[in-house]
Amino acid sequence: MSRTGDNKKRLARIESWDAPFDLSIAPLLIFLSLIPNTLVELRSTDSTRTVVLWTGIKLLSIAIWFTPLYVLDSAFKGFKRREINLFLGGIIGAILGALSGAYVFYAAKLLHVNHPDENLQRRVISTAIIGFAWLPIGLVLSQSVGNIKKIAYGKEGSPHSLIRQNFRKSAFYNSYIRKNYDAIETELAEISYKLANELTVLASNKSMILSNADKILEKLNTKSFRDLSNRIDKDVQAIRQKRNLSLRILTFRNYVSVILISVYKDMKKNPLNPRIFTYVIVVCLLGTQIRNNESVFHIIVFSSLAAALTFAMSGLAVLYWKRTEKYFFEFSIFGLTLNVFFVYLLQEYMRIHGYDPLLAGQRVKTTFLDLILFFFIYFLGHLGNAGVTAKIDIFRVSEFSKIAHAIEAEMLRDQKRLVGRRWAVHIHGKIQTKISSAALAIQQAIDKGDGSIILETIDSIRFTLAEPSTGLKQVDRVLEQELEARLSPWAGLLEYETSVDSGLSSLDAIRVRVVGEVLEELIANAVRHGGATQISINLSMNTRGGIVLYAEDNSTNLPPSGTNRSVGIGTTIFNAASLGRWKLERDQVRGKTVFQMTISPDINFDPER
Amino acid sequence: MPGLRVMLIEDDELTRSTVKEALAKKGIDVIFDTPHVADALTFAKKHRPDVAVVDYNLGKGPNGIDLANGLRKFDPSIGIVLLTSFLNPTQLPTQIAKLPKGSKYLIKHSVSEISVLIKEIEAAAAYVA
Repeated sequence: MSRTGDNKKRLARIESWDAPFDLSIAPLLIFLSLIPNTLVELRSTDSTRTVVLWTGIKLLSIAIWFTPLYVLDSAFKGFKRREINLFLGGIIGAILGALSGAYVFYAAKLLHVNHPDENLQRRVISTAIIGFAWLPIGLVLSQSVGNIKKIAYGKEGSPHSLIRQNFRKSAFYNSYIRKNYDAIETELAEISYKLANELTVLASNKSMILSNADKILEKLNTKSFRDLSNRIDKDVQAIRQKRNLSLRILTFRNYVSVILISVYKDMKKNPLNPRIFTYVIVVCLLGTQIRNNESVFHIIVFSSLAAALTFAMSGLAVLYWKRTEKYFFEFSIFGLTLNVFFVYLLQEYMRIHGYDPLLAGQRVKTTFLDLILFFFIYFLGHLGNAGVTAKIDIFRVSEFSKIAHAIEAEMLRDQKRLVGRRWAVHIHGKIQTKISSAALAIQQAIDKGDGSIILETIDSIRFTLAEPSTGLKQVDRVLEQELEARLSPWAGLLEYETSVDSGLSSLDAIRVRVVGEVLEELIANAVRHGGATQISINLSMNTRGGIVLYAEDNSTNLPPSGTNRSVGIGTTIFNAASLGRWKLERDQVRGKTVFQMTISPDINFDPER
Repeated sequence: MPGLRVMLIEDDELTRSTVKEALAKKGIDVIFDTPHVADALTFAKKHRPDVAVVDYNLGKGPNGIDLANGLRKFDPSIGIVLLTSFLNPTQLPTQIAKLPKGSKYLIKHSVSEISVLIKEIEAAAAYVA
């Protein structure tokens, strides 16, 4: 089957997948319902004491909801039909709501909370209606959160890829979420690469030293490398623990951010969600109006009008946005505010005509609280939708993730390869040289009969073996110093000239080392393989913060045209530094070999680690 | 072969001084020793030594083979002895192949037996361009 066919099949499977309903979400559900409830109470009474006690009583009502919902949780997972689950959820919500209402009523009586709502029958009915509405909403939310969770915790994708895919150009992304994610991504990348580097260096250190230990110990049986090995093992263990802890923290932060991003994404897609928005508002209004209003007729009229207004406003907003596809966020806020204003007018009308005596004289406060309530419900509506739409992203994210993992694995291999080479050169070139020289010096001292030289030489070699990595660590330099350090050793073999953009003077140490390592390989290749005797190097910064390296030399033995990507150490370094964005070409007309590379601004590859 | 004028390029100071002293004891005159490629090239252009004993690994920048090729460009008859401690079989053969014609190379372990080095220096000096 073709790759496209596979993808379609996978997409279909993902689209049909939904996280199961989760009734254990009950505490969250109650908290969610407490927010509009408390707002409604704030509307209905002037007494802070009443509101506080009322909220406290309701918090305790969590127990009424919590226990049976946990018991019923397993039963709910048995039903395969979503509608049946939701309907049963509504019935259970109504029963629990009625119980909760009765509890609240009697608790208020017991505590002498002076609340205008003193009718047991109306309270029970209203909370039953609210329960009937809220529990199915809670179930849908639990499913949505489950879907989002799948992305946040799933192995298949990272939230970062999701953002990159969907929100790159958005203003909102450029503000809060982008900052949040960039911080996470930067932190994750820094930790990952730092730890990968440390692990690689330590692992290479250990394997190199152990593989050479036997040979070295044969020559000088004075230093045990096992101590060093044990210390490295402990360091590796400590780094792994640190990494696991960091990942746990980051996973939690990712989860929270993904919820926000998914909601935002849904806001972008549906500026106002007419169905959910209207449903929740009407249920909230209906439930509370029953308590506050004497007339069933007025309740029906008020709720119907509010529903019609809400539906009309949100519907118009959607229509407008679908035509223009502009200002979706601003338009949503505007539509929502206008909606609240209409409800305000409706309430004013009812107040003036004496339909709602309990709310007399509280219009401004009520409207302000309504606005908060509407925004809250608006957010919840989008949260529900977000869970469904987020599923699709699993597919996209998984594709990006595969590529990202492949690149990451490749880079790790490159890192290991480069670190391995550095250690090999160091051990063969420096440590073994010192041992050979020491042997010769000792031999000469024996010939001379000079015991002090023998002791000095042995001390010197002991020091070298005790600290085998001395001399391997590079010092941090500014770019000009790095260029001088890399180019000056070639004096006499190669004439060089450099030109450096002033914007690069404050380059960070890692990228300075990357530039140095690239130049080192570039020059070595030009001299060794191309017989170059002259080179000119130009370094500048592009508008996106990448470092552009342009070099021309008089090599003669390079391929006449095209690129040379055969895998060697040089190629490995070039690919790692530029993520493959480099080319080497022969300019036949001018008789020059031209090398061009852009070093990414996000590069975290450190060749010297 | 007494009277040979040898130049030694080695970045490790202990090795440089030890080898120089050992060669002197055997009657070979090390007329110049340095860790730097540029200094070696400048000296060789002016004083034309018979043999250059060059360490393969000279740290950052050019290696001993780069220097050997550089020396031969202006003095086609200079003898070259390359010292290497590199035992990595995946690198050494391809690198050695790039040594100038008539060059000798020696694994550094052998330097502890100085007569081996002297034998290679004499063989390198006999090279005729």
